[in-house]
Amino acid sequence: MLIRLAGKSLANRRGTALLVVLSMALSVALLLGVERLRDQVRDSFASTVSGVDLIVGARSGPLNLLLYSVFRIGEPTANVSWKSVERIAAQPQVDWVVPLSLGDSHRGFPVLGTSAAYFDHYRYARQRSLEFADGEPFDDLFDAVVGANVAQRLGYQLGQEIALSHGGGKVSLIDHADKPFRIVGILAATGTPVDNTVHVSLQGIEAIHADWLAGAPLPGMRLTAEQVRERDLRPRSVTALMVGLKSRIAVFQVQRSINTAAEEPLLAIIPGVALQQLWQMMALAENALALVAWMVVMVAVVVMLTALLTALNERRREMAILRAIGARPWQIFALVIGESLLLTLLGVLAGVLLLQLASLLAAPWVSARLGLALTLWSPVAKEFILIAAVMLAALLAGVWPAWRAYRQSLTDGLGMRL
Amino acid sequence: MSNLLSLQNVSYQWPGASEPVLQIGQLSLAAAERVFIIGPSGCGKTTLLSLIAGIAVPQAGQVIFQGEQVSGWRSSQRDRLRADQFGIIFQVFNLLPYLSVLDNVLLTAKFSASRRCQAEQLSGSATAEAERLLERLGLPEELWQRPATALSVGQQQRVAAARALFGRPALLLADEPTSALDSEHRDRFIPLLMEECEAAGAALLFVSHDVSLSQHFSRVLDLRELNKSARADGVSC
Repeated sequence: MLIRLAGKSLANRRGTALLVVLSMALSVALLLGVERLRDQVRDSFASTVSGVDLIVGARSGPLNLLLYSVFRIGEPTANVSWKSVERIAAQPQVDWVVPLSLGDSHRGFPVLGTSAAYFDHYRYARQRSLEFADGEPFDDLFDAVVGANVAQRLGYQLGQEIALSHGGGKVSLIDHADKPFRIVGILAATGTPVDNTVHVSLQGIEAIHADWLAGAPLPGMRLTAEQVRERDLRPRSVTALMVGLKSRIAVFQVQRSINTAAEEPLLAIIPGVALQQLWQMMALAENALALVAWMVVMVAVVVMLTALLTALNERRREMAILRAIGARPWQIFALVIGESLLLTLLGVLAGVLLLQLASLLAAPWVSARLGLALTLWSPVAKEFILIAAVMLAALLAGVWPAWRAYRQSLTDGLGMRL
Repeated sequence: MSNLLSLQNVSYQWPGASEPVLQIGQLSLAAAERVFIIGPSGCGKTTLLSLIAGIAVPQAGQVIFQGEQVSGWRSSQRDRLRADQFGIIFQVFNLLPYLSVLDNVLLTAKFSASRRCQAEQLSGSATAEAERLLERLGLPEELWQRPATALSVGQQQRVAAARALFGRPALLLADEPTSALDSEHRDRFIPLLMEECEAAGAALLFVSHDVSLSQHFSRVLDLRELNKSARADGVSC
């Protein structure tokens, strides 16, 4: 009955109440939204590469290897010789190896030289394999497959010819313009670095460097695209390689055998473990985001407090009438607390609806651009805990105006201060 | 004759004040009696009503209601007594603006189970009793669902009277209930109030500064004479 009274009193001040509910709704939507996004980004990050049991590169740090092989950030310290690639591929537990060759770029996007098996074995986001939005894997020496983002940002279509550049910068001094590549495939968005990558065959990488030596073109020796096809294009070394095992049980055994190989100083990492380590380093930014969301919730609570405290003076009359009818001081207290609860409850409901609506509208876009599949309603315990925490904060804040109303009702008595 | 209410050697002073605003040696009221107390503003009218209604407690003396010394009760007991036995009408703004006329009258039933019970025995249901009272006080049916603020001041005072009378309280306290009304409405309101008090068997304590209203009452008291505090100071209030 008190809650009905509180509701009607609020409806009487619906202008202010609406604004309070709105600010509460926005803050709750932000809080839950950040939390959901955080989970999904973490999930998608942790599965940037999946289905790959080991990544092997020159001996450096695990994070360094992960960063340059998967995220195309930073530089490898050394290459892996083709002999080592063949030796690892020949191990009995190894099912497949996919070599990765980095170092060139196309208008700021990294170029990856690999084998066609890459498209079969690369997995992301819980075992999803790469899909072609258009076209097919490379076949010819000068075929290229571009990621979704590359195609979208540069407006590329199938059949278009592109020139690769030496080095990783956006502005490259030396172009491989004499040996253009033709786009034969465009990948669907994945939300991983694959979207930003131009894929060519390992032989393609060798071909554009056939007339080069030590990172520069050999003076006086230019091979045409046709001439280069005649050459032996077997790679001498690669940047890194992805390894799939016949059985995951063998993963530590194979890792150790690679790490301790006497022939060449190599490092094998388990991508899932390294990704977790990397995420932990980014947890700071992630927590900062959550902190900001909580601060916004606090602002909404302060907005509500302001509204309740301001209304209290106008409502002395109302309280005096209720006291005269026989309302006990605790009932006056409950009336104001009930009001703050009602406002928060409405705010939370509106906030959840708002978030649902926003996710619904944004889902196609986010899926296309970031490859994130937004789950609509995940009634996880965590969200309920967050909502409960917001309600508790509002309840605690509501104690202040309620207490003031209580004090007022005691001192005012029947004396109606007009 | 047993008194419904009596005040004995009651003295009250506001927290922090140096001397009492109210000192009453003896004041009593019989059941169903109607008493007019005349007092200009500033003589402690509201304080007197607060003491009787149990919202304030005297520092000295006793307030006795139906043979019980209620000034010694706990505040929650006094709140219950007020809900069950008293009807209070203020000068203006008696109604909650966000409730309909009918819901304003029914508010009494929400805070007092015994008055709801009384109403149900009288008219079958609380709503029926509220409607009966509104009808008796001359408020037509088309007004009942209107918001209280849509009514004229005179109509609002009659709604307040209906709410105060709902569920047969033992005592009606009226604090200048007619001062916001013009003389014509005033002369209609007071007999109506008296009539309904009689029908409900309620005593009426009517406080006003307007001497001309005393003609309606058989017993008239002057707060200036009752309140020894003000007289001792020689203040003419």
